[in-house]
Amino acid sequence: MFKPSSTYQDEAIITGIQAGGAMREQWITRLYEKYFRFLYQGKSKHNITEEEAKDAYSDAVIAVSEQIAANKFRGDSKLSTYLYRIFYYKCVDIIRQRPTLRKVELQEAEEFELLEADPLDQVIQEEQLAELETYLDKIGAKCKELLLDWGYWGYNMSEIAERMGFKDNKSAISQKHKCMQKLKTLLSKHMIQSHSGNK
Amino acid sequence: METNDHIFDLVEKYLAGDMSAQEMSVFEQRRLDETEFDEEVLRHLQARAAIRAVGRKRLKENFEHIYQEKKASATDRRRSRLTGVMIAWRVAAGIVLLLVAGGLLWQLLKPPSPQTLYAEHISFPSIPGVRGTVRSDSLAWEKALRMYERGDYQQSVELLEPFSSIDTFAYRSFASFYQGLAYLHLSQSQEAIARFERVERPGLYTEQVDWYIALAYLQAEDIEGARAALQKIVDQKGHYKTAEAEEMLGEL
Repeated sequence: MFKPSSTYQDEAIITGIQAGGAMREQWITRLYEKYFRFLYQGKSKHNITEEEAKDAYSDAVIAVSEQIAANKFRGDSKLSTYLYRIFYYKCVDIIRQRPTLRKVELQEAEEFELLEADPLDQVIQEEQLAELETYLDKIGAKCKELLLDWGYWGYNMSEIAERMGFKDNKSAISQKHKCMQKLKTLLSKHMIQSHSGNK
Repeated sequence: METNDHIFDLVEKYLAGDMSAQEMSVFEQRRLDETEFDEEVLRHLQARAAIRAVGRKRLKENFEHIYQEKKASATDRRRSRLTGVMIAWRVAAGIVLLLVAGGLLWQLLKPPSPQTLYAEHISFPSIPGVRGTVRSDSLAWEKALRMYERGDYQQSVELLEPFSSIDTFAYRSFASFYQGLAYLHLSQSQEAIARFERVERPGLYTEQVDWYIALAYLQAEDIEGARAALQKIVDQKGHYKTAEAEEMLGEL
């Protein structure tokens, strides 16, 4: 249930993203467009480049949309406030990375309070992501699209069956398992060495 | 022997946060005690992390596309205003020098035409989910959306018609919205408005439909209709096009 602080527009965006599939794709775009002005506000407020502000804003929208999709956005604040706070911390991260660090009076812990911990962040290091991405290219275009539709965009198996021309749900599910297995086999051959200490 | 499919379901349950405290404790303990189980779980999590990384990358590419479009559209607007000002100056100088009657000046300084406003503000969203990859050609629905993406708007409106007119079709609003946009592409403003009005209200497309109806009136050079539609946007608190609508109302 939405709290009184949420507005109709918030509800539309949240419902759209949580619906998954084509709706999610459309409403994430809508979220990006709706608060696009933040990008320029962040740029001037933090004195960062437009390129940096653009990256920070994209990352913030992605983070927020994933929290919404996973039902982790609790609606304690308006969506715009929540997005702006995450975007704010992304901008601060950029400033922190600069060699000539300006003093930023912020506690790093605050950002983590906004975004709930995700088990996937613990199994992989940032620098290993590019390597991981290449494995998806190796399993074939159809498998890659199927896994993305299911695992990222949240299409349900009936939609996937229809979109990809499988005769029914069962075939789509079976194909999903095969594709995951292909990917896991590739991963096990090049087992990513980030295992220890992450359990 | 436990099947990989069973572990698959278990890890998905874990990721979705659907495990009870007891299930979670058993799961974590097994990861500590059983090496094979733990490795399979880890591989599954890494596979999911890879999928998410590629999904994020795609999303960022989409955002980049929107950013570039918005930037280009803002630049065009600025350039067109600048050009207008330059022309006005030249004409003014001409008037002073040649003592030409003020009629010409009025022509150049008059408010922008509805068509000009339309051209300055229109931008079309692409259809989510149509990424030009593996799709079944046999489905009329997929075909209609694909035709839209390819720019074959005539075919697209024809193929979308049954979907936008069936009340029970789950994506009726989606179909009507894109059919409306296709009609805008074809400069058939009245048809566009009729399709936009088929979109369910309130609903996921309400704000976008308000905006495109206003643009459709501008395309049709119906100033009164456009004013009313823009005013409707301004009157709504927090509409995503409030600022643009206010600016356009000032210019009309």
